[in-house]
Amino acid sequence: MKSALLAQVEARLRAATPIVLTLLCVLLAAIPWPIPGAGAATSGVTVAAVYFWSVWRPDFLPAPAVMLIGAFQDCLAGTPFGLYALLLVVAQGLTLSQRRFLAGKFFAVVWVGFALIAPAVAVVGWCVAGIASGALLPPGPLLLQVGVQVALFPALAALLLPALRFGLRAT
Amino acid sequence: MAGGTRFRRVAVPLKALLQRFAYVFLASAAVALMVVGQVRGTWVETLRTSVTDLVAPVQNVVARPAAATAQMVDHVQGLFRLYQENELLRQENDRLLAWQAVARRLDGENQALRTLLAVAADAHTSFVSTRVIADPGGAFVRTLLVNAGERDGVAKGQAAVNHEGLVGRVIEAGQRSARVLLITDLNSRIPVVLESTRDHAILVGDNTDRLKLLYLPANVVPAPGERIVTSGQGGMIPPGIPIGRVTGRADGQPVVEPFVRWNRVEFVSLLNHGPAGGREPGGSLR
Repeated sequence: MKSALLAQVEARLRAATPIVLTLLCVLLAAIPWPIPGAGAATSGVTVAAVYFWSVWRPDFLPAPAVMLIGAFQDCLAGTPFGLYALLLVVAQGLTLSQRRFLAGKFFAVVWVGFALIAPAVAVVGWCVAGIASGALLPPGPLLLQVGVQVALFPALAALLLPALRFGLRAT
Repeated sequence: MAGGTRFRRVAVPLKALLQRFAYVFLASAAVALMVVGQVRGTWVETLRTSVTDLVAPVQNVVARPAAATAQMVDHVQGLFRLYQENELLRQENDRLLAWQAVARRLDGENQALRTLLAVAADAHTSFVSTRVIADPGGAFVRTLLVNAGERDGVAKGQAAVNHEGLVGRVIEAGQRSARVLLITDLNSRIPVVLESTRDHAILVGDNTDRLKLLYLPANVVPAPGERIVTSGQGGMIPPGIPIGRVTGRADGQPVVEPFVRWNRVEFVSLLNHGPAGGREPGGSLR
């Protein structure tokens, strides 16, 4: 009886890991790093995390959870409410539309896939944030964000891989 | 039983439809959220401040290692430059002592003239100093979260400063956290004056580290190096807070480089300025 309860708790824990880790990414992205431009660079880490889970195990991070995580990031970041909710949903939608091509490929292919999807999400963000604030946003900070996002993706993937394995063991 | 079948007849295709177009629905919902948030901003603000209040204690802990790393890097850099820095500080100290003498003389003169002319006293300013716990804006907005809120006397509109100059102003205040809109944000508008010529202008951010000076009188061209300070118009931001220096022109407008080094803002002071602001009179150098 006790072991069944424990197994259930463990299963819940495993199922919640991707969501908790992505929420943690939101908190980590908000840390005031003492490096110039770090704020603009790190805020894209959630998009990278959503991409990671959507390529390997989209069922670990369901779309409504993605949207709620985006809304949480909007609350924390002070962006127009709904902006990150939209961007994360768009990121997952785009990734899933290409998943047949991406799943099961070498890591380098997945990385190139991210290098194509991250700018697309950034362009959507640039347009929507521009409309919401009624002004043309300077593209510089966004280019920096996309560059850092793509460059750091392997590091993030290396950090999330143990969590992926932990989740896979449950299924 | 028949009711159940009928329900299933409606529910099953509906579920399939929802699954098929889940992303379209969710994306539309996000856009709808944005529109509603823009039109009825108060509930968004309430939600935001509740979330930041909830997250503030966690973020305060999470941000500590980054602050500690910054201090360590500073410490190591300081060790390497000890001799040079000492020499520079000695020179600066001599210069500042000379300035102190001038400032004391002017302060005395100022007090005497104010008494002579019966000038109405300036509004007093009190302040709360607080740690920056998050710098989350990114490419879309430039804001900071600080670890003090309404229970510490923080209110919307207060100016945020550090030892280098004006950082921004408070746009949302929760119970124990507040959000500061940086002067570099796209939506930031600060009334300023050119320090030497006293010409008024509005300082506007554009999400980069440079600021633009708008609405200067038509014939005024600020010289490079001219200092920009707050004008105090509007009453919430005290006059005379340094902001930056004119460095050149872009698109026909003067460009201002702020004094604040954005990656080194660890603490800010939130100024409570105005008739109700001060608990103690300030201003004297003695």
